[in-house]
Amino acid sequence: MASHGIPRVSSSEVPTEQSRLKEAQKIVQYRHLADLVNHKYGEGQLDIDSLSLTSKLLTKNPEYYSIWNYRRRILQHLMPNSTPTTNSYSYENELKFLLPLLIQFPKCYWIWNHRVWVLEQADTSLPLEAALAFWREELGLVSKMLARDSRNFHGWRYRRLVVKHLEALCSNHDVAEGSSLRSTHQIVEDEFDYTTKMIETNLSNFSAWHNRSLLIPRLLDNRQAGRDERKVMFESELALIHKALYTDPYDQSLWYYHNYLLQHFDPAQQQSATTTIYSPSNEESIHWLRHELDLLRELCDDEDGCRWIYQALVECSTIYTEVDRDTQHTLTRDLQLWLQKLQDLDPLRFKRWKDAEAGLLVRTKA
Amino acid sequence: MSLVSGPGRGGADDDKLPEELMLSVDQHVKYIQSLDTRKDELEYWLTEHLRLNGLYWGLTALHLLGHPEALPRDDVLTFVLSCMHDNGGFGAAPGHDAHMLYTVSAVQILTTLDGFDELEQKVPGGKAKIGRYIANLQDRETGAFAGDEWGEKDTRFLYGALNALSLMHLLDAVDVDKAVHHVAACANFDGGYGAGPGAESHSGQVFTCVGALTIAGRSDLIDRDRLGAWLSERQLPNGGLNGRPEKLEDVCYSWWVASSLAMIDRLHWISADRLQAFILKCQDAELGGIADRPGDAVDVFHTVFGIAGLSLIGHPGLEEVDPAYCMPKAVTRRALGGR
Ligand SMILES: [Zn+2]
Repeated sequence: MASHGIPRVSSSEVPTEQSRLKEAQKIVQYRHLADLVNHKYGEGQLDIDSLSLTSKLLTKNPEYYSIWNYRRRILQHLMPNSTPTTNSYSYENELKFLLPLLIQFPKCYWIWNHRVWVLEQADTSLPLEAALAFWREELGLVSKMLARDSRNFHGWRYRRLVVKHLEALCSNHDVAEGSSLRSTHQIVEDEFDYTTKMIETNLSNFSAWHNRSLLIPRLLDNRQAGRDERKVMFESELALIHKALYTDPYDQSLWYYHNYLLQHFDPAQQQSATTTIYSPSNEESIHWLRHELDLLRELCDDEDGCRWIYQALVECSTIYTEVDRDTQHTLTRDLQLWLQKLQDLDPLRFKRWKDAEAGLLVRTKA
Repeated sequence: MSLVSGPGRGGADDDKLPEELMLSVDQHVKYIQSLDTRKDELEYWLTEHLRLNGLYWGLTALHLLGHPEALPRDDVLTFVLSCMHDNGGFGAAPGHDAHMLYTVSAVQILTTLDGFDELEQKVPGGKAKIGRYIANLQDRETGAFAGDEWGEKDTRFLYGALNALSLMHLLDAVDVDKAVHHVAACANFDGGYGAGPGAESHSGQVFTCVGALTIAGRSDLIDRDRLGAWLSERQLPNGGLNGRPEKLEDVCYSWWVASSLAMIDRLHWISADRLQAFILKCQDAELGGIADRPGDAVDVFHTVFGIAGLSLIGHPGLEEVDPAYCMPKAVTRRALGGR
């Protein structure tokens, strides 16, 4: 009912009698199984046989959300807060059941949800060490999933959730042992390294850049970094993105991250500690912005047809005129030229650039 | 490439006949009418968990096409009410568990068909019950909404809650300020919004967040220029729109991107002509229905979002759509009173 990427069957391809019969047979089998499971659900049967039947049905149709609900009720019954060894069915069993389904249906919300639920049950009913082991395994699993599809939306979201849980468990753990919070901090450092690795594999992975922008401020907080260390980090991010942009100036993922760094210079942008790497002084902003403009002009000479460079020039010089009002009249003419160039290079968004040009004229008159 | 699936249909090159710019209204109506007769296809049974959503998609498409009578009103209402649970929530079909996603579809259908009297006849106090079901799914600490008792949270559910409650004039049942605060916390540096705080921007989630803020009357919180820029970058050279950077175009994003642009007054920042041409290339002009991309199999989900996208950009002959609700403007105007 919501299909993606499935080729249309031509109307001239009439199904044969044989294929019609086969389809009818499949429907009978499926409906028989669904009716049976629903009957047991209605009767409130919570035994291991019912569990196997839900496995069978969910393997055929993992979108059948009510059956996931039924399955959770069975599991709640089978796995009360007792030690796992006394049960014939364990959290490991459940996680193992889910793995091939996740690989086959990586975009199915219900499977990811169910997996989180299982792990949360383990959290509350297993000793800390055992629960921690489960969550650590998950990090390995989600890395494998993201190696298969490095942009999987669910995968990245799940990764952040696993990390959050691990951090919570670790900090409890450390507090209990009276040691430092090092292991919580190590998780953030490891995640940061992971985004570096993903970006090195494929520059165009915006999901990794996005996660990186969230991790750096936290990592710096954890390190209790002072201004100098923050400045070093900011400069190294600028250097990283410059190198990437020289490699592929047509990659929009890179330009979004570049824009994120540029926002650090923007006095109009509300800076919050959770999104900021470094708060540059006015002089530093001017120094960096000037360097940025030089670099973009240079890039422009090599790639005259690349609209992204002009967009960045517009963004950069707009911020520049905010930071240093004296530059306004020297940059306004350039800005106008770049906006006109964008109207040529980017006909789809013609009116966006027209609006920007009109806005510029209003600003310079004011 | 096997994109061409029949004479005169999707996937062929540019420079088409003018008919290529015609929406096959009659075929789409017939296609939607036929959806509930496909019981000899396994797919029909495998998608039972989408039945009530499907009915909302089909009904909305028919209303936008100007054929509101094409599905019998009584049958639709009977089916919708048969999905209702004692707790006020609705399941995807009779016997399926209650969930926010279906409860919202039910309210949208009841509103479109002006069917709340029938609801009260069958379930006295039914409207208030629905309101309570939805309100109980709000996390009063964070303002976020869960999809059901199992607790998964997502801005899709928050949007659905505000959508349905506002249509029933029951917004007072929830903490709208906290919900707004939660949505604001889902904003990213690129101007977009994600499924929760920290989640990557995604056009579908942008629609739910911008829709929620619009319904709550708090679109002042949106960074319109930055979000508008991000949304406009979703249009690809073929005219279609994608959901995130470096992803493929897809008809359903025609709705999520374009409606979000409309809500922040930036719809003119993309090319309506090119988008129109792309959507029309995705229709099956012979058998009806619209697909995600030219030459792919059609479904009712892409059919409604394709038609709603066309309505938004002013394709001739279509009813006007409300960008915040994905329902006919005439319906939301009646339900909300003078909106
Ligand atoms: Zn789609």
